Amino acid sequence: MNANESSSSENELNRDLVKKLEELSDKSHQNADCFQSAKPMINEAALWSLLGVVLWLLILAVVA
Amino acid sequence: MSNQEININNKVEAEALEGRIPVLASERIYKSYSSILWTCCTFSAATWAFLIGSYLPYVGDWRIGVAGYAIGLLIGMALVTLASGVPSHKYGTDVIDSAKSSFGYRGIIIPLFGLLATLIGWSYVVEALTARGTANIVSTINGSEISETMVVSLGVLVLLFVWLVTSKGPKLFEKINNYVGPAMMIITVVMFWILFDTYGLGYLWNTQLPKEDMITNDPVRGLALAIEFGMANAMTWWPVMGGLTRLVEKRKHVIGPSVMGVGVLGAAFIAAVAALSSISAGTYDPTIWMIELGGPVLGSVCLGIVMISNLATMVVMFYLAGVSIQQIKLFSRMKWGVLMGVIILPGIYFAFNTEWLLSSVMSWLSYNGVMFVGITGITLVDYFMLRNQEIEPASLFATKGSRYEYWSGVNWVAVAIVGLSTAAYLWLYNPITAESAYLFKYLGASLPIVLISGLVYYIAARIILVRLKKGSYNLPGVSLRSAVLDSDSPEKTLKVAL
Repeated sequence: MNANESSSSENELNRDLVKKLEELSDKSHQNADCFQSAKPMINEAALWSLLGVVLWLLILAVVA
Repeated sequence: MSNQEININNKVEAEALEGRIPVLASERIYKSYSSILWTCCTFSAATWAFLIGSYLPYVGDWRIGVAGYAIGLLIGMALVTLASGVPSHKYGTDVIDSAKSSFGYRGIIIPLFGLLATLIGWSYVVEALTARGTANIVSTINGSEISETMVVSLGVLVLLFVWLVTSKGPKLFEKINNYVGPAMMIITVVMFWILFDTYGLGYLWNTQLPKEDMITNDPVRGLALAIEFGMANAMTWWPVMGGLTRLVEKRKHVIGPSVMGVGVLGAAFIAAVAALSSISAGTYDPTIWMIELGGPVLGSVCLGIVMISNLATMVVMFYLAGVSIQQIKLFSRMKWGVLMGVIILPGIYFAFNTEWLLSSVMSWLSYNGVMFVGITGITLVDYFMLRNQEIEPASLFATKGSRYEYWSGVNWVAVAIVGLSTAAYLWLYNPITAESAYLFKYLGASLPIVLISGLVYYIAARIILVRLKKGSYNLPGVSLRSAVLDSDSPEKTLKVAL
């Protein structure tokens, strides 16, 4: 690949990046499920962690 | 839409999936709970899961070892997926790009180094395990000695196969993993059944390693060690989870499949079988005991699937490394297939040195998860507590004028906390010598260090960064700027580039 081809491909990639970043601010992406609040994911992660902590304490109580 | 427009859209989608361009909600390839669950499971369930599982009986009691390991993975994977996976899921950006909001565009060299060491380092380890494992199977069936030529040839073949699959992009391995993941779980159940059938439940439940071989005979410290094995393993998933969740469509498919797939099914369950086999059959390595106990036909079929699972793991790791390494300009200009070739090629050297790799590099890789402990704490607090889940996507691809410019692209506060957290971790627990401080017995090392590094970063950001107006922590709710290729008005637009 020569320098011109490389630079043109880089410019093309950067134009695609700008296009994607614009689309990221569009209503279609902002209304998508992934763009909504992370609260359900925080709750789910807290539940898994809590399960781990409860099991930790239970086993500690048995072996200590 | 014309054919030309469709072609352009397909090309841009491929560039996003194979590069750092954000992946939009409509382009995500993981659309169901099971598809991402099985990818996580396949990724986690390589032969290394057996290797790690074989260490669990050394904590004093294999039952405490397995339970503690599962607990560490439950807590650790939940934290790591929040820290690394959630921002990348929202914005479709690679984990290293998302981390620029806390480390700066030059500061991300630290997590990037950790990511490449983890993904590429472990890929070569899996290559060595696969080459030697397959040679083991062939030699056991033929009743011959393992030939080094065969190991080298198998290693090269493995690399060639992995290059061919990764060159096709993530859509192909998403399809493959839908079969490999469940198959691997079935094989693990078969392995457990063979052990149960051969030795009986009573023998398996009560047998332990000799007392003099144990790291500790104190059950409380043994539990802490096992939990730490799980937590440390989970920390090494920080570079991975963001790369995977940017391909996931819905929020409800992010946390559960990561904890269940990586932690419970892919790691804890397999580690339990490995722990049982190492105390009963005398070795963790299924390529040795499976044919002996299961017979040549059943043993070979099972091990064939284990080896395929290894290949699937390598494919996902090289894909994620390929996306992130494009942060380095030289690599971002390469075509995807060439880039994959460049990353995979050094594996040929390791194909000639599998024994050395498995004996020497494993020790170094033990330290590998340590640096992600501080990074997890910082990225967790930065995204959820300091930025209220809002980052400016254009700033992740900009240098001058980026909201995350800090000091010439480096957030020295975050860098210092990563250094301090690594030192604090090694003071609490040294993964090579297994020496530990008193507190380790009750708290482990990863969990307190993640929490403390997050807390210290929160305080330091409020006291230092907000006052010095670094990192735009004092700009909540400011309207987002448009990304452009050339900016005349830095207030409204931002110049971006890959």
